[in-house]
Amino acid sequence: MSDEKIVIPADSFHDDSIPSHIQGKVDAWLRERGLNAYGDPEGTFYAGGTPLFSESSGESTSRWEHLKNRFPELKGL
Amino acid sequence: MRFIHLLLLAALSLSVWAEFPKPKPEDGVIVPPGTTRPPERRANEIQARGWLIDYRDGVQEDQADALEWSLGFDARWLQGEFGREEKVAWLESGRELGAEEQKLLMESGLVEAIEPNAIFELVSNQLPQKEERSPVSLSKLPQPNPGDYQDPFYRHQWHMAQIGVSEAHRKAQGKGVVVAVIDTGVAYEKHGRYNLARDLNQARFIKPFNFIDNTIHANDDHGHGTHVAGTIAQSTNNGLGVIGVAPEATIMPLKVLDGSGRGDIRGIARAIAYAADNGAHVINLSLGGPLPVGVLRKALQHARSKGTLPVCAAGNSGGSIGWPARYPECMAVSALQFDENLTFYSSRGKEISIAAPGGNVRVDQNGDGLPDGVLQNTVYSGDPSRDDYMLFMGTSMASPHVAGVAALIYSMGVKNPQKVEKILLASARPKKGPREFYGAGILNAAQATALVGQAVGGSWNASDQWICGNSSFYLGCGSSYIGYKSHISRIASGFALVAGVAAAMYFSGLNLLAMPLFWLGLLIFGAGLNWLPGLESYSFLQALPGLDEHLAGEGGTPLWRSILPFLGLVLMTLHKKVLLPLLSGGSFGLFGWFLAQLLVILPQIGSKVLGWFPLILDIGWLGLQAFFSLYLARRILKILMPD
Repeated sequence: MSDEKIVIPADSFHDDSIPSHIQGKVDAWLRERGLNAYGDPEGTFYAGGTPLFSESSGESTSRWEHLKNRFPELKGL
Repeated sequence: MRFIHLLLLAALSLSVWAEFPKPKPEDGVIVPPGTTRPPERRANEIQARGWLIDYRDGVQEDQADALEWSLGFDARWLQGEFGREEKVAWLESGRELGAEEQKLLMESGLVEAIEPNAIFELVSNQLPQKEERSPVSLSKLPQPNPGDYQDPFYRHQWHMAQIGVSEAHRKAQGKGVVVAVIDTGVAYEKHGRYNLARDLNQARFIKPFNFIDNTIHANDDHGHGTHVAGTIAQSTNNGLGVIGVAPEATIMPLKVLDGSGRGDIRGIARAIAYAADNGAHVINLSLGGPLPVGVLRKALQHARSKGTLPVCAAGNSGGSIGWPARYPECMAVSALQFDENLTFYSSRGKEISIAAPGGNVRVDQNGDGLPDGVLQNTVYSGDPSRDDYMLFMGTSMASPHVAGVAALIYSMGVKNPQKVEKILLASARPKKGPREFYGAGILNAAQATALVGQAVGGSWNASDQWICGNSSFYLGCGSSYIGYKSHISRIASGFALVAGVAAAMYFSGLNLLAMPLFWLGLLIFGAGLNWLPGLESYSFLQALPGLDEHLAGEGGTPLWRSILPFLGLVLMTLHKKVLLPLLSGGSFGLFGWFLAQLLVILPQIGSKVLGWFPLILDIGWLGLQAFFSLYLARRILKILMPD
């Protein structure tokens, strides 16, 4: 019992959205590469249903933040 | 005249012997508004990249190949991956199927459906939505009683108290039920760098499979699947850590998501079919995606046909529900926090079946010094050799609470997934708020096992309780069902006695009331029967032979009923000075009881919780029985007191 401990997740939250003027460009960019809305191959399923929300850490992010982190080149669109 | 007497006695016997049939859930069930799911709405398709070609039953691979070659492509034949009977070919990305090709495929007569394995625009991905929250007194909400279990961290498992697990465990613990956990794997064995999570040391596992690398080692390199499995069947009362909802259930670990929590449709559909074909009673799917896929739905339908109940996390988008939770074959579960309100992240929509604790680690509403996540034992992501007790939050955590309670229900003898689902819904604690948030209400393990207990006792009808559970009458509604331990039951018993005495006084003055045996009969038939499990109703619906679900092998008949024929014979041997006042009291008591039942059922007219036809039948039947009992009482009275 002495080595048992409870791991407390971090507490942070982000909520951005893709700027409307580049939304179409981002979606087109993903389509051209055969990627889904989260930048993963088509048909990808996720623990909890979305990669934008971590059930283990409690962190969440916006789709735009998520995509920018994975594909920095999107910032230049 | 003698014939009429015989007829009356036969009718009375019929009602007293009412260990009778109830309609099967699908027969005449009136589902309350808002509980049926609309046809799934497809997201806005952007562009098809890969295709799933669903061939008709009986089509052979060479026939499919010939058809595909004639159109200039060759899709991968996936027979058996989505269920033994399913014949699906996968045309991978890079080869488009034009409208003309699709038309030719469909016109060949070999193809049942063609589905794009495509990018879909998210229907909605609104992160947290503002919502009206019900004000609650946090101090009145259920808290775990540390004395209930030997597991020291149970005191932090508010989520188990929220659904009444400790009370449910007195009735069932899931023994003999197999729950498939289709997820990132489970820390269920020592294998290479993987270990058995310490608090799964007494858990049972069966037929693991890894659909990512096609081995029998479904180990967890993420932590998600082990946490989910722990909620279902964590070793309980083992002096370690935490408890599970159905600790005696057997887990079938099926790995379809990799160490990053991602997986593909093929693996998931194959795993669902595998679970159903290998004896899983319940499937937990704490996963999802933004697009509908027909093969996934077919796999779920296959599971249902095998007697398996799929339970799905609604999703964590804070917006609309993803797939597969949106399919009607899967129970969609939304997530609650300690104050029993919907969490900010939980997906919501008309497809939500039920709400269960998913936690919110950003608050400590119960004041236990820890964030209000769902606490279970799991491995570290990146180092699956180590495990600890971790607070997670998500609809992934809510779903296994429902899967666990489903396991408890299965273990009590209910075998039909539709019926298990109805019991889960009927027993849910009503929750004020949008149905899109809470579905039928808050998962209630204690009530679910109590309802099954009554069913096994021989008198409970899932479909009726389903109706009742969603009405303002709760237990005292529908088909004149009056739960024998309900509040309404006590009121009805009191009314029955008063009505019986009033009728006796009307016909005999105070003469009958002076006879102690009259009172005995009155008490037994006017109130006592109400307290005997299995005879709390004289409903017409119960009295129709051939409809009884007991005959279908479920429920059962209380042993005490077999005494009734002998009791009848004993009564016949009694001296008429004893028998007549006893029967007189009994028949006046029955009259009062039928009136009481009518009073319970009459207010349901127009309430739309019970169909008109069964309602009219029930009212008519109860009225007829009241008339017969009064007639009988008067005949006996005339013999007893000729003057």
